Amino acid sequence: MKKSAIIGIVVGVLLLMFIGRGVGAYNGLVSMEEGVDAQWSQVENVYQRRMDLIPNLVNTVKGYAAHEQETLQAVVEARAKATQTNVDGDNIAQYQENQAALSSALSKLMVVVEKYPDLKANQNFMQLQSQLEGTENRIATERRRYNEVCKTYNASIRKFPTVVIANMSGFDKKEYFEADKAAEKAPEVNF
Amino acid sequence: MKKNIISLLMVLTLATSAFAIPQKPKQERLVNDFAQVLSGNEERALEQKLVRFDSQTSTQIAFVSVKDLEGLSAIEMAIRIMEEWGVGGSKDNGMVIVFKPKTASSNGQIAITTGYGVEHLVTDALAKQVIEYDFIPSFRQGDIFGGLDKGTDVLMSLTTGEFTGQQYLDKHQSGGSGIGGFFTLFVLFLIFSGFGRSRRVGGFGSRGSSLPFWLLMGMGGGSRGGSSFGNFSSGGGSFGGFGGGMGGGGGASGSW
Repeated sequence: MKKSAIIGIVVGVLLLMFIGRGVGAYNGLVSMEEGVDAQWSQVENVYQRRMDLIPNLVNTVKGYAAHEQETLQAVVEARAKATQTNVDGDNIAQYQENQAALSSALSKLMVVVEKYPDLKANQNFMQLQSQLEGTENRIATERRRYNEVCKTYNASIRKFPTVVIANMSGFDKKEYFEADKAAEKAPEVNF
Repeated sequence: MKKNIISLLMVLTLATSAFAIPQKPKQERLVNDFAQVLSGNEERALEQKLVRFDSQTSTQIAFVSVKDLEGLSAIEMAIRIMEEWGVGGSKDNGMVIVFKPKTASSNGQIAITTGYGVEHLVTDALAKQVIEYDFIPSFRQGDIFGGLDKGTDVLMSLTTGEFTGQQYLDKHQSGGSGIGGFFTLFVLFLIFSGFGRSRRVGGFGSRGSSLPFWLLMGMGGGSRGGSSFGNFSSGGGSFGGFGGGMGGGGGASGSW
């Protein structure tokens, strides 16, 4: 009689501890997931920043290098395509692909520009160029940070005992930002 | 026992190689001349200037010179240092200047990265211009301290709003250079701000208000800064430490 009561109390306490841990783990996962999402919007912000620079850049280049219609058109189209993809962290792959296409269209443009010394000396163009360069650095930075928070999150949903809670409440693995060749190679903007 | 020592050594080497960027010194300071490009006096002068600016405006400008960029680009190293050291206060108003000296076999490199709180004042384009117009010309002549002194002056003026980015750019477009250029700019300022005020009094509000209000404030701040200069320089002042500032990777770099 007495013995079973003690066992009951012990089991009850253990259960409470277990539930407590579970709640803690759950809350931890929630804030971690929030962190990943917040960092993802930072990534989107800096990509948006790059897209905002493009119309101005294209117009400036057009004034000096009207013969480069094809290259300019490629940039405009790649931008339009990239603008259309909206992601909520689900189809990162598609988003990445479009941004990578835009990166490579931009780097082609930057190579073509080398042929136009007048354009390269244009103050407005020089400013746009350094803004673009800065934006590429921001993209690299925010992407790296995204991958870092992603890594922490992905690791913790696979670790015991968090993995139990994660599976029960549907925390999924987050997709990394893959370093792909086209995007990795930021447009060469040397003076 | 031997095994333990070996594994300890391995852990230690791994730990150090994982961090390509210089470790934050225990005694935090704004001038970190790891490559020893400045003389003792120059180092003290620059440190004092940056510490004074930090205590007046809370904007932290950290200078780090390195012998080797460890495979990173100068701007990447600057961004990492900002992140690891936390340069800037709670307003993320920090800047990191990374400097790699020119050697027989490699170019000199400089990069400035800006914190979230100052990136709208020192935009990427402006950072690039300051590097090209104020830092590098002196570096080319071998005057490293001169370039740092001039360049940091401009960065400070940009963050306090003493002059705007546009005015800085205009100055360089018109071909003005050096202190003479700044002086003309300053005189123009006085004229313009006076003009703006008198017109506003006269009823031409639209013309007068085209000059930003904070610009006038900034000028007032500048003169106040001048008077407190004496107080701070006599005490020397010591650096209170980095404030955990963050940056988004903005800024620019250049080489010579």
